Amino acid sequence: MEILIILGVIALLAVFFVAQYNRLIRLNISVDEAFAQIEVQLTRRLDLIPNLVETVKGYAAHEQSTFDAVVSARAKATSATGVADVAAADGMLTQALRGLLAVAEAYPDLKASANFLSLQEELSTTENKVAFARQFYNDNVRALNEAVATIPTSFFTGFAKVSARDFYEVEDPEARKAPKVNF
Amino acid sequence: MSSNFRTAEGANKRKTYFLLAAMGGLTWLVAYAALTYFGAGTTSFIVPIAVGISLIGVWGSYYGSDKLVLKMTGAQLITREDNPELFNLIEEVVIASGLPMPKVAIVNDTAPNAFATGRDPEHALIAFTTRILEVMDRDELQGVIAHEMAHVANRDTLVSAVAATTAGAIAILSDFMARMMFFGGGRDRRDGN
Repeated sequence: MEILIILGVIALLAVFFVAQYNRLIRLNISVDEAFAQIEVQLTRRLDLIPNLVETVKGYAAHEQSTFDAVVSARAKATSATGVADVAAADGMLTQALRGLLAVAEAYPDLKASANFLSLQEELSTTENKVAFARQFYNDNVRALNEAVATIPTSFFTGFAKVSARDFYEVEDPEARKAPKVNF
Repeated sequence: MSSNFRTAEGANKRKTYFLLAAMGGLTWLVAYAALTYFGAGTTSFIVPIAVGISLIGVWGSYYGSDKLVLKMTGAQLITREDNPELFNLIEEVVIASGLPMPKVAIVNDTAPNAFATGRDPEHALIAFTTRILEVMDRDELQGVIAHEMAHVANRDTLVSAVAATTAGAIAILSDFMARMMFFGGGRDRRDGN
């Protein structure tokens, strides 16, 4: 009888350990998956840029400094690795593109061209996708970090080789400015 | 547990399957009650039928709801080429929610409306009327899509399909019962005389 009780307790403990271990591993994988989604969207955006720059150049050839900013930001974004680096390059590129679209505002012919309109739609959807992918990533990181920091999963982090991960934070000075209100 | 879409989805999945089973049980109960009302002589005949009705009802609403809704509303499935902007918007919400990409359909209608259907997120379909695509701008449509995708994530579509089928099955059964009481009752009286 005692042996059965002991075996039962051991079996229950084993089930509990496996459940905690698997939970940590699953959360960790979902963070990896979410980061891969950010990278997919960032790559999509990088692929759009040469086309966009060429189109704008066709109408506004003398805005060289704006083009240079976009091209150098794109080069940085292409070579970035790791969450913090990718996030920083992403922020720079977002700003550079904002500059490029602001330039386009001054050229009515450009704004009306079908090519530019479709590129603009592609770019705005990609910006949104990047933003949502970031949000999804951070949501997954929060779930993982919560599990890493709270009992009982916190006891198993060493065994599962899982640790807290970085949030994806974009340094965007525009986002912190108070909105301008005109009456 | 806080509200990660995926954990919420797991909880809703369990609740929905429970509801599905409960609806099947309810249909069976009504069918059984109808049959017992007419005496034990018919029970062996009627119980399998009652079980059959409830199973067909639940199974039909589980597998056929998306196709049925498409037929009922005359919605046309569309591909990316038909409306790339709408697909872009849906993909944005798909990324935000972590759900699989749903099928997309258009309903030719002058009322601005949208709905979601399908038994689970893998078989989801969201449909938009032609009017809603005309009157809403990008951000507004994004809100509508997010709303429909939340229905998909919570499996509201399955719940409402099952509820509708169960209500239909019970309505048919009660109709049977009313007719049997009327005609069958009359026969009983004649037999007594």
